[in-house]
Amino acid sequence: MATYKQNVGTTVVNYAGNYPGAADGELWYDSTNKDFKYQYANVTAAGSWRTGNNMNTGRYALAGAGIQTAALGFGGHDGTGVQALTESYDGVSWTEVNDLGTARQFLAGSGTYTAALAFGGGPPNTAVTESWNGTNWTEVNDLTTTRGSLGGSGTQTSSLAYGGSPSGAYTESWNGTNWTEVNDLNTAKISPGSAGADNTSALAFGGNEPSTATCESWNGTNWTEVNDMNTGRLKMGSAGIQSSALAFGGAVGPTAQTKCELWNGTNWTEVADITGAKEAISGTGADNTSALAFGGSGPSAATEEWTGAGAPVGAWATANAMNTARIRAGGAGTKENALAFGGGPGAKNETEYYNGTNWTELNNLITARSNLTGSGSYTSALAYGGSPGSKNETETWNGTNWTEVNNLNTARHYLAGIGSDNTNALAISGNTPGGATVDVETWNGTNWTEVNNVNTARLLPGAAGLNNTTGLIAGGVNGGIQDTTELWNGTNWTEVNDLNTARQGPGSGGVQTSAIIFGGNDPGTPGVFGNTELWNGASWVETADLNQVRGQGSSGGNESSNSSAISFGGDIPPETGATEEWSGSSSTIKVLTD
Amino acid sequence: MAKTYQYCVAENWGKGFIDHVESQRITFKGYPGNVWQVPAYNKHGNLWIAKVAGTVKTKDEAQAIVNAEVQAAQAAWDAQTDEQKAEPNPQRPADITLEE
Repeated sequence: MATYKQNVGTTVVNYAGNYPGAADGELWYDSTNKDFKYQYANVTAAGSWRTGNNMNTGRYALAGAGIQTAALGFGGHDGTGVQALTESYDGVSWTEVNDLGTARQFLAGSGTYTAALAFGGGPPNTAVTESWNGTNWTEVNDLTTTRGSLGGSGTQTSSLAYGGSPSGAYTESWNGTNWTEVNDLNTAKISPGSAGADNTSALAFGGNEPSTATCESWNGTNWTEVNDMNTGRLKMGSAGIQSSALAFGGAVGPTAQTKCELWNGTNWTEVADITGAKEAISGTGADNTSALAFGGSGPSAATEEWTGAGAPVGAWATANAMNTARIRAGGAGTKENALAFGGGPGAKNETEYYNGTNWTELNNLITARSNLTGSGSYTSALAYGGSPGSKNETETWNGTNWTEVNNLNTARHYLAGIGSDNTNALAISGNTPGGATVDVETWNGTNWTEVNNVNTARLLPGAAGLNNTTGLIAGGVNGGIQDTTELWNGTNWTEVNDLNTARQGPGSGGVQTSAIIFGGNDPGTPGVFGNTELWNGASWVETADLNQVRGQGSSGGNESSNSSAISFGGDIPPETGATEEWSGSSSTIKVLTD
Repeated sequence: MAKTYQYCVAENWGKGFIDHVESQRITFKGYPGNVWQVPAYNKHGNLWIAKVAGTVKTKDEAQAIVNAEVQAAQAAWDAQTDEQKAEPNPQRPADITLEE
């Protein structure tokens, strides 16, 4: 009989307990429990759409190229006229770049965001083809047949154009220089969905009025009918390749659709809808696990990102508690190396260091206080603001001791703070003797300087950012509970998409494009909660809750993404020293049984 | 009516009390008084209670423990000066009602 090593290529590791280095599916022997075990990553069972940042110009009947994190949108109609506008998407924001040479709508696109092809469209119907080099569009050789409302897929040097008006079934192949007529579709398709890697493999689906559900697969020579879509439609968005595609939105008769279908190479399956019904929507994406939907009827500037089943599932786990239970302490550092200082009830000065396993007491703050904020790392941190009253004291931490430095210009408590170390920080909003303030101050290692205000004054917001030039705040309270989010670009604050759950006093961490917020409470709703939300640069999505619900907790905050975080302290009630660690991915360990 | 949750009392000892795998499998909710809520009729919930040597409580027993903790916190808040109470935070601890 073949050995495990002969079958798998490795020997079975002998390890006392759960083997931390185990790969997905790898077997090991747990010598402590005398079990054979294996583990696999926990992933989502279904795909989902999530809002992204809007395009600069809302429009419909545009074309797209690229993938979810690096896309191009071009042409279309903005409600006032046909457009040549081109925008580039970097996974977070759309940026206007150079226009097409020929304004048009219902065109087709292929390629990437640095090497794309635009062909056909109208009105009137055109055969014009343009090539994008990452900076400019250049006209190249025309389609052999003038048409609009066509399908297209492939790369800048190897594309396929199929269907469209008025030709219906014509197919042309692009070799990087010329278009050549090849075999027709079996069923004429006007405004079909399209997917494909190059001019040797493609998928054409839906289209026409009344719409068809038929789907055809291209093998480089002929089109072959394969299984139909569940809902025939035209003017849909689409993404992917011949064996792995996505179709979303579109129209059935006069009615715009939200339906999304996933093609696995054999069948179409209905999956989660896009948020709003849209036709003449554009899409792009690598396959049915990652796609981008943008624009559409309205005209719409909306963007949505599709993540297929199989995304990592995160979870909180308990960790060892702080020595001193407390609420609203200052925090700095990461899940592996965190710092907690000050806090309430009353005014505490205790400082504790967390090494990923245990909390250890270190030298105290000079000024005992609660309701302060902190930022930086465990070896180079800053503590600022706080109460009783409203404090402006600032202290720097060098890994061993706290030292008093220059004060904030505006004394405050219940503020938020971000920063990389004790040489840069941002003190944001909070409460002053005169009430909630919009004031923001930046720290350069020596002095605090006032910079532009936040749009909404608030107490106890969450914040994320690794320096004083880029960050965000979310939630808080000022009269009413807040769900608003604001982004800081080093100069100004801009309001963006709201939290799903308004809250004050949450823990938080991460950066402007990848943040996490957790826990907190709502004065208008009894109790505290453990809700956790993740920010991707554009929108918040709910994920697994804290195990121990709590308000007024603290966090390290100095994480580089939302895949890692630490929560410590807070009010259960009463105040607690409980700690939890967030991991953006998790695994299940299985034991082989008899 | 079949219950949705079960309750136990267990002291959170920190690391390993609830690990990432357990937290991903079932939803935990910790309440005052070391009261923990986990899904009822659930193998993973039962295994976790056994692991932490939790003392199973009926919902009413768990509610009484939570009430005692909240009432103590409310009494502490009520004992503050008017100036302290005027601070927007923290508010008076709210009553907590456990779910069936």
